[in-house]
Amino acid sequence: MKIGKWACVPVALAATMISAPGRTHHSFAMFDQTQVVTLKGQVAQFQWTNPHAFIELDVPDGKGGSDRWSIELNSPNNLTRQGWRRSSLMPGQTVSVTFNPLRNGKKGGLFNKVILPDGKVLGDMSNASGRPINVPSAD
Amino acid sequence: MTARNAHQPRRAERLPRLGLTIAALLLTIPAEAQTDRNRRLTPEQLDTMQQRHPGLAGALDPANLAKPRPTPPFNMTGTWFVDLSEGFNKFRFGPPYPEFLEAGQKALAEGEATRARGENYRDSIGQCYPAGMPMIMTRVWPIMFIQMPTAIYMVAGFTNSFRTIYLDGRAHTDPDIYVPTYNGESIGHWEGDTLVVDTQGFETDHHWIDTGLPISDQFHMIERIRMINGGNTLEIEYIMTDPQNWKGAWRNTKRWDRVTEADIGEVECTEARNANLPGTDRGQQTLDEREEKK
Repeated sequence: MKIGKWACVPVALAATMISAPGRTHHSFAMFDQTQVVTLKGQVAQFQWTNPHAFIELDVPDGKGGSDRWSIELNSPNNLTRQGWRRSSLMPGQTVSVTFNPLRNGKKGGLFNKVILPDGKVLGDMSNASGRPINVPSAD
Repeated sequence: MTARNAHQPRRAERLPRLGLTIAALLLTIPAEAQTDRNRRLTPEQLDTMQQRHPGLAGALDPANLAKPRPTPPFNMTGTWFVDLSEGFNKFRFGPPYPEFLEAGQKALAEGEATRARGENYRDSIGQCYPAGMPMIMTRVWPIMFIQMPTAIYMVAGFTNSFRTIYLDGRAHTDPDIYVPTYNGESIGHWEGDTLVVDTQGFETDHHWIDTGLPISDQFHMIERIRMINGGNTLEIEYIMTDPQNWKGAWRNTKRWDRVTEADIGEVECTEARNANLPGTDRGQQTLDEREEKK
């Protein structure tokens, strides 16, 4: 598992989300929501689809090649309310993506935020509460 | 050629047969009808082609809609969102759970152990199986109802799951005819200020409640639906029985709030899209395939 060589920081806020099973298309048991990972890479694909959007990110592997990471996002409806658009990410852009990694160490994760080439940050959190927009503050 | 294909004609052989079939069908239609666009098929010809239930008026049959009926105590027409103010886990139907029999006990234990390992357990919804009733009600996507005098139509925002609650006084379809469905066959009637809905006829294949709890073909559901909060909140009490899987009645009450700046859009689950979602089993397969290629 190569996550260790990247920034891998437990975040207290993420720990509060353990009981939140996610966006309910499917189980979120596979993501470790107590961990966050940030990877810088090139956008291979950004798909604006229901019920989930996703990012395919090519991350340099340190050997002259790259690894493909699959990052799962919220629904486009929720993302739109957080400032996202279909054109927010374009193939070829170099971005930093922060996500909750898979527990099994495979190259995938649950999206938290992205820093675009111009420094703009797009998240999966509501600006007001700092929590995911479709997870109630009661949790 | 596989064994299955061995009995099937090649495509080139099938095409002439298809042409003959179409020609045979056309011969059964009067020649005038083939040339006169104002002509219609005879009732007998239509009867062989369309899906209908002879002797039972459809819920949208104008004559059925026009029948005199008492004014219902409330109208559910609107868009609704499950109330999660008591916690996100309120989208589940337990705990508390009833006393499960063997299959349910096994599912509870296996589910807990599997999730503890960070793996999915019976995540059939993630493989595009319908959530089915009752889980489709709490997918954290809005749900719409359109209430007519004869039926209430539901479309869930998540994968556009469709459900009809008949109000026109019909009885349940003969189980020997009814094709089981994930949302079942729902018949409603009014009791004072409450709509009581009786649902049966469930498809059981990969149809779970909460995290992998199984149902059998004896699964039966009563919903007691009330409109509260000045018409802005629906409260539904679920009373679910399945003598093959648990003892007594499994009860749970949930609420949905009216949402006004929302619509139900088209949402599909497809295997191709799941291939890019690492939280699904298909997405995991993609990650494994990539590693094998490296």
